[in-house]
Amino acid sequence: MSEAPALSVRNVTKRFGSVTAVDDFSVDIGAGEFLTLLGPSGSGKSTVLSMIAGFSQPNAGSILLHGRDITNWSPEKRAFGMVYQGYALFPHMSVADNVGFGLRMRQRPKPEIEERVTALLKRVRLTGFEDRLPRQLSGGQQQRVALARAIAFEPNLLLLDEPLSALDRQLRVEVQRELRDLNRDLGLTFVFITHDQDEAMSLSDRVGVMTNGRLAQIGTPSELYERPATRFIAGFLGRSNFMEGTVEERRGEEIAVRVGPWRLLAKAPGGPAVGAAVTLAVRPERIAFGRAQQDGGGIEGTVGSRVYLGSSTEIDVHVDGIGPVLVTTASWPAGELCPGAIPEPGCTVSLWWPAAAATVLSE
Amino acid sequence: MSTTGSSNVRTGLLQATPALLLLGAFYIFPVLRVLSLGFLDPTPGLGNYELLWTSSGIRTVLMATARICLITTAISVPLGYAVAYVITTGSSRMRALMLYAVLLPLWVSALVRSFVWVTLLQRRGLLNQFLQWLGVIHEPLPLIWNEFGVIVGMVHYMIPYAVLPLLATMASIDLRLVQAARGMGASKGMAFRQVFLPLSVPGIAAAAILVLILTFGFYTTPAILGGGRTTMIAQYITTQILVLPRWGVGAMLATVLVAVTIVLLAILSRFFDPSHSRTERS
Repeated sequence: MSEAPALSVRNVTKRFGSVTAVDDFSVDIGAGEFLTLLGPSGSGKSTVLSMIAGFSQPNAGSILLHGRDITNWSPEKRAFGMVYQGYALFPHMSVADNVGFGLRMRQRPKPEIEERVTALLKRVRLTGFEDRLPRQLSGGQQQRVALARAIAFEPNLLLLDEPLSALDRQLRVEVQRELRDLNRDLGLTFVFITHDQDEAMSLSDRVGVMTNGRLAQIGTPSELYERPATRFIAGFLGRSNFMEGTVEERRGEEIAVRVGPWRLLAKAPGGPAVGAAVTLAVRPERIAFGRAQQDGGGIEGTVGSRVYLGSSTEIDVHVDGIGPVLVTTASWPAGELCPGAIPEPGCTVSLWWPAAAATVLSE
Repeated sequence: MSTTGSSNVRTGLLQATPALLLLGAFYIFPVLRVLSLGFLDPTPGLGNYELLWTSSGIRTVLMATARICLITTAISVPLGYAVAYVITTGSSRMRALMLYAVLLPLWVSALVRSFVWVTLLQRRGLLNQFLQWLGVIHEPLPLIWNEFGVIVGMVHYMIPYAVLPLLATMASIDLRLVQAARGMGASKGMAFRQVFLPLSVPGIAAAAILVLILTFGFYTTPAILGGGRTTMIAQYITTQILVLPRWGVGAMLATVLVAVTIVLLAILSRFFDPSHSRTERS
């Protein structure tokens, strides 16, 4: 992002009475970027969206659109498109009137509105539905009308507030694809709010994880997955094995961590000093069976249970000093056709992972 | 639907029989007896109903009643709309407070309220004295013992009845729709006119009809604040039956009152019938 950010949220704080819903929140969003704010309910992500949209005012901080301060602008002056959870289509207006609403408010000439509405409905595959009322449409169709309505007046920004949560799984995948296509085709900046980590990972250029009104970490989906900053993120995005110990030795970029009877290596440039308490996070799919083949972590334990999931198999291994360690491994070559490739419950097994696979969490 | 529906109706009727018999014997039968007097007294026929066209006195009363009721409705409903709107869009604390303020007067009798208006509006009442003290007027204004006084008292009485159906309708409007309209470039006023107002139309209709029905039967307030000069239909009926007594004319006018009420109720039921949900009609 070399150019000026399309939208800058700077040190924004929002309080409701004594509750601080959003605490010193900052983010820069590039033009054409698909940014997702991900967090559990009550994390403040919807409050951030409502402040960006102009429906509520921050107690402190500012919001900039292409470098201009818009903190005190009314929602209609900001001209951001918005897609709501549950669509919020006008029930008393036809599909065409819903889609054309923003253009009518801008007093565009009638033929232009009609032309644009027709083109948009074609874009979302709803040609022929112009005169229907929203309640005569299915959920997925209503969602597409809501999308068309939000982009009809060529907004500066598209805000999406959990727009997919009301759809069933199959429709959700369909609308996700539609969203990605729209983002790419229109070059429009998207700010997307969700509590669904899969959705965030699969749709976004960048994901900001929010907890307790703060931005815990922001980065590309792979950055967040590979290098989670906190234990919460490591557990919220995918799954992790956590191992608590103390730093025993530092060797260049690597540290050796003592966890029970085990000495585990991890990459931590400029990380914690010798004697500090740390938590290591290791993804279950990074752990392999067998003796250590390079520097990293090598442990031994007893297989507890196995869960066959088709493409992969999950194995619980009980390790002294650590507790249960989850390992996922490809089911092939293994399973029925290849007995013995995946250890039986009760077996003693060796596990290892390279030093780079262990993330040192700051907590 | 047809078979189960009709058998449901049958068992339902069976269970309601005792209540229906009681209602029939002590309510419906006497009412029909009285109403039938309109066709029977003093001589059988439609003579009493001819008076609707021939008697200028009755015409004046009916016209006055209709005028007062329509004006009362035209004032109460917009005022009630404003109150309901503030309650709907206000903070939860404001909402509770205002709801109490709206409901409280419902427990004060019409009699008491009318006499309060008398002390406020009479020639040497608080309002006239205040205006004279300000020097705005030199002679006391005729605020009472006329249609103006009656309408003031009736509007005051009717506002809660206008507020309640409006509140019910407004509570079911998704306020995010107004937000959405604002986000798409509508000013506050535009968002209200394009989205909130059209969605609240069923509530306006229900409030207007409810207020109309209730005002038609008003007796106490016009009797006190009208000072005997402005007579509405309910008063006129009382005079016919208790004072003169002309049972036939009274019964005929009562029939007219009942007929108008039934027609209005039929319209009202369309707005409150759960099978005609608001979103479906709008």
